[in-house]
Amino acid sequence: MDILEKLRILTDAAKYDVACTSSGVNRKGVKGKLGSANACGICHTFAADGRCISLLKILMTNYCIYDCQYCVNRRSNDVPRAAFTPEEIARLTINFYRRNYIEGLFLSATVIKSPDYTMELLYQTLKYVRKVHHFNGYIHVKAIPGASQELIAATGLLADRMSVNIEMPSAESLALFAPEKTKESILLPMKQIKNGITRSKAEVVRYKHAPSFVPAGQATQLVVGASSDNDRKIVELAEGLYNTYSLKRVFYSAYVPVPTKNKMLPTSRAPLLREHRLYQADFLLRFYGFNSGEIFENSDGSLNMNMDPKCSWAMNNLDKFPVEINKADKMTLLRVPGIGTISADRIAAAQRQGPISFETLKKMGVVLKRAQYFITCGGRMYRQTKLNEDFLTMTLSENKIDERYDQLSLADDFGLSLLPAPAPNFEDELKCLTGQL
Amino acid sequence: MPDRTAVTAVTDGTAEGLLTALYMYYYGNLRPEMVVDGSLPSFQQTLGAEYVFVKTDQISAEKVFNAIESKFSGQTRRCIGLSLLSAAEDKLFDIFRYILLAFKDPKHVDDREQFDFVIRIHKLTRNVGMEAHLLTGFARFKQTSQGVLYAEISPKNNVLSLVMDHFTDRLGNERFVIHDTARGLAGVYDTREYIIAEMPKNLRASFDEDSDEQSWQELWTTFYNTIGIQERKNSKLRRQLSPKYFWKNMTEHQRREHWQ
Ligand code: SF4
Repeated sequence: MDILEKLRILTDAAKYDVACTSSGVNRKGVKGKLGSANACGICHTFAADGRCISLLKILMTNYCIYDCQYCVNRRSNDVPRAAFTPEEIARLTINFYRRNYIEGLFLSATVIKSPDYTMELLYQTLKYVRKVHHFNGYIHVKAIPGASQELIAATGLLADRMSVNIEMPSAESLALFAPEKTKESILLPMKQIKNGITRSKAEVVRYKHAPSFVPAGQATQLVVGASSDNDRKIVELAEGLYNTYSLKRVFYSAYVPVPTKNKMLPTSRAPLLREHRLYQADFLLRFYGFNSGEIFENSDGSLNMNMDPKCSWAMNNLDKFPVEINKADKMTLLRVPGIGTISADRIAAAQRQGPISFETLKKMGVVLKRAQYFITCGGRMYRQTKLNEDFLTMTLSENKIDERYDQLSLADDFGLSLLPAPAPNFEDELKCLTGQL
Repeated sequence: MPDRTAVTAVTDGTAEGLLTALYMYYYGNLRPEMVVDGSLPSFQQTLGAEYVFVKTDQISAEKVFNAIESKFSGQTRRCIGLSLLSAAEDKLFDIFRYILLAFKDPKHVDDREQFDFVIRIHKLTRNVGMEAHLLTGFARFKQTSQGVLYAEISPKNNVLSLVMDHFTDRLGNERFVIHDTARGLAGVYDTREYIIAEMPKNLRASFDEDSDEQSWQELWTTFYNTIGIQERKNSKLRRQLSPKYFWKNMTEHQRREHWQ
C-alpha cells in the first residue's frame, strides 16, 4: 500500500479524537534540532468542520483486538486497515513540519496484539522521531491502558502531552459498550502519568537539566450521547479528573453514529449544542471558580439548552444580583452573565483608576447585552429593569439555537474576543483559547 | 504664548519620524492637534490649516527611543512596537498621545482605558499581534532545489519582522526566505541572522521547486481533506477563523476539492 493511501486510512480513523491542541509548553529552538513549541498553541489551518488543525493527527495502525461498540476501529467493523512504520511517521512529521503545515505530531493507536506491544511501538516511533530525526516540536501521544508502567514512563519522557481516553463517562456504560475495558484499567495509567509529572517537576527544580516528563500535562476525551449518562454525571466526572488527576483538559465529543448492529447505540448523532454546553460548564469549573454542585443546582441533571450554564446559575441565584461594578472583586465579576475573564480583569484594573460608568464599560469593550440585567454602576441600573425571573428567562434565552453550534460562539459567550489580549498577565490557557478551543 | 491655531504635525511615516515629533514636543514647542503620515497617497493639505513638517532626525529619535526603553513596561513597549506596524493610516496621533501619557504615568498607562486612544492602541496591538500569530500557523514553505525554504505571505499589516522572529527560532537550522508580496519585501535567513530587504515581485522565479515538493503537497492536502468530520461541516466558522485572504498562500486551499 502506498503512503498516500495509508495516510488517508489512518487519518480517517483518527479524526474523531478531538483532544488535538498543541498548547501548554514553551520550548525554544535548539541548535542541531528541528522545531520549537509555543505555550499558546498555534493553529495551522482550519478543517471544513471549522476545527483547528495543529498536529498531524494519525493512528499508528487501525488494527484492533478490542471490540468497543462505539468505535469505527473495533475488530468486528469491516473497514480498510493499514499500519505505518516508525520511519514513515518520522518522515511525514519532519516534512510537514519544515513546510509549516503542522505544529507537531499527535500519535494515537488502536490496540494491536497486546497493550504492551502497542505501547512499545509508540515508544519506538517517538524515539525515532526525537533521537534519529532530532525533532524538537510538539508531540502528543496516547498511553494504552494495560501497558506496563516502565513503557509509559519511558514514552512520557519523549512526549509533551499524554492522554488516556476514557470515552464512556461511567463504569456502567463501559461495561455495556466496551466490556474488555474497565474503569480501573483506564484510571491506572492516568494515575501513573500524574505521578510521573509530579516527580519530574520536583526533579526539574532540583537538577536543571533533568528530562521533563509530559510537560504539557495530560488530557482525556469523553464521548457524549452514545451512552445514557447525563450531563451531571459527565461534569462531575470531569471535576473529579481535574481535582484528582490534575488533568490539563477534558475534551467532549458529540457521538457520531458508527455502522453497527448494536441496538443500544443511538442511530443519530448527538446534538452539537449539548457538547457546546458541556464545554461551557467545563470553563466554569476551570476558570470561573464554580463547582458541579452549583452548576446543577435545582436541575434534573441536564444542562439548560436554552441558555448557557452561567446564565442558568444566575437565574437560580437572583438574590446575589445586581452586582455593583465599582465594588465587586474579580471572583464576583466572573459570576455575572456576559462578563468573561478578560472583561473581569479589565474592570478590576479600571477600578483602581477611578469610577466606572456604563459608558466606560462600553468603551472597554464589555458587552452589556446580557450583563446589563445583573449589574449596577454607581448604584444605577443600565435601564429601569427589575430582576424578574420570567422577563429574564425570555430575554436571555437563545431563541435562535443553531444546530451547528460551534467553537467560535463559545469564545463569544465568554467575552473573549478572537484576538489575544495585549496584556501578558492572563493565564496561558486563556490566551490559547483564541487559537484552540 | 500666542494663541494657537490647530497644528498638524506631518511626519515621513517612519517610527523615527514619530519619535522626532515627540522630541519636538518635549524640547521644542510642538503642540499638535493631529499627527499624520505625509508619505501616504491620501495625505492632502487643506487651506487655512497649519502644518508643521517634522524633519526626521536620528539623534533626537534615539534619545526618545532610549527613554522609552528604560522607562516603559514590556507591555507598553510591545503596544507601541506593534501599533507602529499597523496598516491603519490614522494611527500616528493615537500612538503619539499614548506615548505622552506613558511618559506621565508609565506604570498605569495600559489600565487607563478611559482614554479613547489607549483603547485604540490596544485594539491595533491585538490586531497586528493576531495577524502575526495567525501567520506563524498559516505561512507555507516550499522546498526549493536550491535547498532554501520559500514562503509567500501578503498580510494587511507590516508583520514580516514578527513572522521572521518566530521562524528563525523554530527553523533555526534551515535557510529560508519569506516574501511579503503585498509590500515587495522579503526576509532572508541564512541560519545565523536575517535581513529584510526590498525584493522584486517575481522573486519566486529565482527558485526551482524540489522534485519531491508536489508529492508532499499532495500528502498534506489528503490529510487536510480527510481530517474534517463531514457530518459537522461548518464553512462559516472556517472562514471566520481563517479569513479567506490567507488562502491564496495556503497549499491545502489551493489544492482541495469537493466538500472539503
Ligand atoms: S480499544 Fe480503542 S481503537 Fe480499539 S475498539 Fe476500543 S476504542 Fe476502538
